[in-house]
Amino acid sequence: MIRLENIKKIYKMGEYEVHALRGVSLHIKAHEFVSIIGPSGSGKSTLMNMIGCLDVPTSGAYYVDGIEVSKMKDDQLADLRNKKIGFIFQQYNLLSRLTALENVELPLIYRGMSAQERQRLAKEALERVGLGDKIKHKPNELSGGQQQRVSIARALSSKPSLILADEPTGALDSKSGIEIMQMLHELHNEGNTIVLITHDLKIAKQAERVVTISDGSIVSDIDNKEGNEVSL
Amino acid sequence: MTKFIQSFKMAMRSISGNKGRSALTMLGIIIGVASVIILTGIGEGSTKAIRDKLASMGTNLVTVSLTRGMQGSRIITVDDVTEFAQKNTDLIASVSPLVSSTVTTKYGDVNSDSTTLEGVSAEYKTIKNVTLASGRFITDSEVEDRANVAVVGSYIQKEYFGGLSPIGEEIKINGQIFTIIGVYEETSDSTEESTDNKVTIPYTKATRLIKNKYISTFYVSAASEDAAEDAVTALKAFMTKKLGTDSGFRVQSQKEMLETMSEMTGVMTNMLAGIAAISLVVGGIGIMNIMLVSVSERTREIGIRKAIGARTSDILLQFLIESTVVSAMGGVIGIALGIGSGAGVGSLISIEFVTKMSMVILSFLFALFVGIFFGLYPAKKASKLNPIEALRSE
Repeated sequence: MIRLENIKKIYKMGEYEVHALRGVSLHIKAHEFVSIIGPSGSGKSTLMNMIGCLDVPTSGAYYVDGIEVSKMKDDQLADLRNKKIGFIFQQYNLLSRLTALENVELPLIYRGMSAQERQRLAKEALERVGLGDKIKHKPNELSGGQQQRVSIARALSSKPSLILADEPTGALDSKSGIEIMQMLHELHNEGNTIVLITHDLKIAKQAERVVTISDGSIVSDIDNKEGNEVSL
Repeated sequence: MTKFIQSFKMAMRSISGNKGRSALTMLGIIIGVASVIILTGIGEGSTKAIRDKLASMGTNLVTVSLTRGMQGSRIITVDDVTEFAQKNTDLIASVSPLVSSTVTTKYGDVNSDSTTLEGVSAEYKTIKNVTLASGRFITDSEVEDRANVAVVGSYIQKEYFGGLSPIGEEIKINGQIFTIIGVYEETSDSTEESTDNKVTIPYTKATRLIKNKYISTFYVSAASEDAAEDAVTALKAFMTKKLGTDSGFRVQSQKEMLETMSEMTGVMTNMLAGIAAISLVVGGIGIMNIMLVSVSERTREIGIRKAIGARTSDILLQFLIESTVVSAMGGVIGIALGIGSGAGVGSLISIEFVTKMSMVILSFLFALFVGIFFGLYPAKKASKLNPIEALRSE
């Protein structure tokens, strides 16, 4: 599914070199639900950018569905993100001028899909997250939890290999947060591969596998099949 | 294609989502396009006015003139030209010499020392298509007799005779007494500096009055409009033979003169269009300015789009279409405004406003080009944003 081999990422800050990742190797199989936990400054965000194909490593190899990503150009990365990765962000990151339906259609537009096909898939995804009656609403007409569900629908609409959720409950009240986590579990049970990035141990523990990162290296990788109770 | 339509929809949404700003951005283009159309329309109108005026003077007219250096050094007499005309009646209908000078005119205690004097023959009236407000023109016998008769411009009637009929009155030209036999129709505004301040007398009298027996200009009326070009050729050959050189004189048909004048006013019109085009470029800079603001305001949006799979070219296209649509809309409004107000501006300065379709299309295309050109830099900037940094921005 996805495989990172000795990934290093070095940022140059003037004369200093910042080693954000110091040789990370990680293998995530299809249908897994993995959380990656670490405090801020641990390299967690850099790792997420790598997994999400938003950035390329300084050295090391990264494979998504067997495709080598680490030497790709910007437009190749864009295409790969479009087809393989579904993003769920902490701040929802919906476009405020577009309706829920149009937001969900967006990744399909960049795939060059016909309007008819696009709308069908987008409606399907919105119905899946329980917003079939709100497709014409703009983000500011929806609650935080609903906006996050639109963003989940957007991630689902392109039927990606991997759903990458970055602090998906971080901006939500606890009730909405629980709903969102429940939805991620459902998606996992339906066969989706999910990677959840968080700094919150309680959230992280809900995944079946917890990877802890600190100071640019993986410090623990625990199988956690039992800890599946949803809470916040 | 789907992407293109989608980018177009997005651009329209962003323009309508920011109506006030979009309108202000368009204003530069609107003013630019409108001024191109108004200025070229008025330029075209004055060209048309000049053309009409020249045409009214007779399209059969051919002017033969000795250029400055030749005047008086070799002699072309009226008899020479008349004889040539009589031999070529298939080409030439009539001939009138023209003696011109500036003279003083006086009636009672009113006078002018910048009156234009023309000495001509009786044929001049038909050759130049002259219309008189009152009285009659000079006759053949008056030319033969060197009679002291004059046809005067409307300025003289207005200023010297208080607008009353001057026919039969006597006027002093360079101190000699002339009887007024006719008055020209007003050609401009009857002021001392205008073409209405003139007197026309028999050329035989004029050469004596200004003490210059050499005639340097002849007006020739071609037998027909079609014969004009052949008449020019024949007259050139005649002049070359007479003078023994092919330089030092000019034979020009009214048609050629018309073309020369049209060319001159055409240059003027294009110059005006060029000046107006500068305001279009300034409008383009306005577009660039707003697009740059828009890009920095929408950094996060660009980040989101890139994260979910927009390529560099997708973002480029989106912003480029936006600036192009703004300039195209400005162009259309500018055309409407230009055509709408052009007639009003024209009547204000009493010049007919002529809408030139080619200029309308050209100014629109130029506006479009401006939108693309000045939209390119902001769009490039947007498309090159790093998605990670763009997502992090507020």
